[in-house]
Amino acid sequence: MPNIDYAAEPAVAREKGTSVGGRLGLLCRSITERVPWYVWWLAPAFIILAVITIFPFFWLIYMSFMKIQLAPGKPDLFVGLENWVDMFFDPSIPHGWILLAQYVAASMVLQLGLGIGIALLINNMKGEGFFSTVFLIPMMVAPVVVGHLWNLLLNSSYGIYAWLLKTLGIYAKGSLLSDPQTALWAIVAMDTWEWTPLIILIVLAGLKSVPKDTIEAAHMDGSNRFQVFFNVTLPYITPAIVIAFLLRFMDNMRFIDKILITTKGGPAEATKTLPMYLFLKTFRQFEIGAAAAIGFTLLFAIIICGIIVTNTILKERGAE
Amino acid sequence: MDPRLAKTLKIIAVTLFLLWTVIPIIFLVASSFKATGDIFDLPPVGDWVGMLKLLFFFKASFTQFRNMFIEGPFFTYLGNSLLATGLSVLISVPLGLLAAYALSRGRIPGKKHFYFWVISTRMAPPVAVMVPLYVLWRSFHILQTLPGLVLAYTTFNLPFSIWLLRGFMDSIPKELEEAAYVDGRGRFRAFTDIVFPLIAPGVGATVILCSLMAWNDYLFALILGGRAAKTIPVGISELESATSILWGQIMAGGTVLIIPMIILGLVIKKFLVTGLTMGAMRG
Repeated sequence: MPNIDYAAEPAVAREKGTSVGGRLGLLCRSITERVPWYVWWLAPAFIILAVITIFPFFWLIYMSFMKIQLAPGKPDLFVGLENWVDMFFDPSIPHGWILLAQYVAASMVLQLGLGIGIALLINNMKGEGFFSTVFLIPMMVAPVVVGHLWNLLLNSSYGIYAWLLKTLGIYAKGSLLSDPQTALWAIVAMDTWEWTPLIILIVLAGLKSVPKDTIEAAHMDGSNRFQVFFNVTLPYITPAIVIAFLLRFMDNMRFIDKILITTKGGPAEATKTLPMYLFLKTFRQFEIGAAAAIGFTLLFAIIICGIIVTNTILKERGAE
Repeated sequence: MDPRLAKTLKIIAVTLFLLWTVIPIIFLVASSFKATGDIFDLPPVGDWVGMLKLLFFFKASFTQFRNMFIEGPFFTYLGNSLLATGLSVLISVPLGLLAAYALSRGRIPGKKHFYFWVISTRMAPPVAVMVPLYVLWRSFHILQTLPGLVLAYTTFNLPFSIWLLRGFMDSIPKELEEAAYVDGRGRFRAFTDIVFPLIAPGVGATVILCSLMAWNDYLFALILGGRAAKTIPVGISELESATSILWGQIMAGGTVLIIPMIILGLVIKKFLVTGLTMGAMRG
């Protein structure tokens, strides 16, 4: 910021100082000068972020101690810890956590396993560029479309994947999504379809950092493929795998679009993961106070993961 | 293992994965170009030739698109989608640029806490955020309006663009701007003349990734957008009711939704991994 010496213009200052407006102008100017430049650059984003993130955060906590009445004119009632206590007696909540854990764990294992495997296979293969182009397609597809698309693919009378499962003699009982035994796994499959490609691309990027001569040297020493992988390649791509893991982990904890489109928590509560239960509690039963308590718990759990991610990413970049 | 066998297995594995990835997309696009009756024409179990016909050799028809856009309300939804996406990007990216520059160049006390705040908003589960936003938007009287939806998208696009752009700016050496100061240009001119052109590709990638997130959103549009700001994802989902499912139009809507994003994704292919990992990986 240019450093203008206002003391060098005494005549103007004296003249302006005589009127109230002039004094105000001077006051503003001296404040402007004392505030570091970055405040002005940061202020618009900061203010908007504060209104749309910090306020809702505290409002969420506030609501968890209230009985929120949506009907106009009815005031919210303070209920103390009722919502929090109720949470411990609601059997849907441990059920939701368990389902969420199963969903996240299954997705992570499948996506990381497949992703790392395919990345290793196509690394330096002919047509690698083509593959990485094709693999970006599913990531671009809106989760809503993924949900509807797989709903039709698995549809017992019109779906080609249901047809395939019948033809191969694997499953002929109808749609995987309407069977409580398989519904959650069908959603895992959808998520795996959409996001394994991201893991492939991340791991591929990591593989580019492995020095080729180190691998050659290891082969020369007589190490076999597996030894080379575990001793040379893996340490180089571990940061990439950690990042892929954390990103997918958090997103799987957060998003419910696919469940909301395909099963809405059913059949027989088989896909009522905690965030899905939270959605139903809020927008179907309108128990906003209770939902706020659950929402805060979920937020808190994910923020804990978030701290780990932030530290990892910052360490990865070597910043701060 | 015999190297030739290993190579064959490798090719089989990669081909299977490739098929697993593209068949749903082919099915989606193929179904959207079929007449309503043809969509349900599944070959008998075991008829592989019939399956190939279903995916590749069918009578093309624009019935679904006509029903959606000319007879149905999808032009309005498309407009809402474009407006909500465009406006949220127009707010998020310029403000993100200013904030990112300040964060990258300023010696700001407590910067780390700010970073944590920014990145934590990207981790909040939308369902949990939706509850207080719903109440807040109602008291602002922007519930179920387009401005309300735009502001809702800003809750995730602004932090995302700050975070990503800061990463791009950190990679530009400060010395370049210092030369500009010597030339007598102010900080803002140094930013617009020196820094911005250098990170322009990164800004482009940020614009596209922010568009992607807003364009693909369903939950915010469903709850906060409501009737007045119905976007395509919400419109598509409404084609499924308790009594009937208009599969053809749902697939056609899906095609309309994914084609622009796939093209944009290809444009920023180089930045995709960087962007989707929030700068943690260089693609």
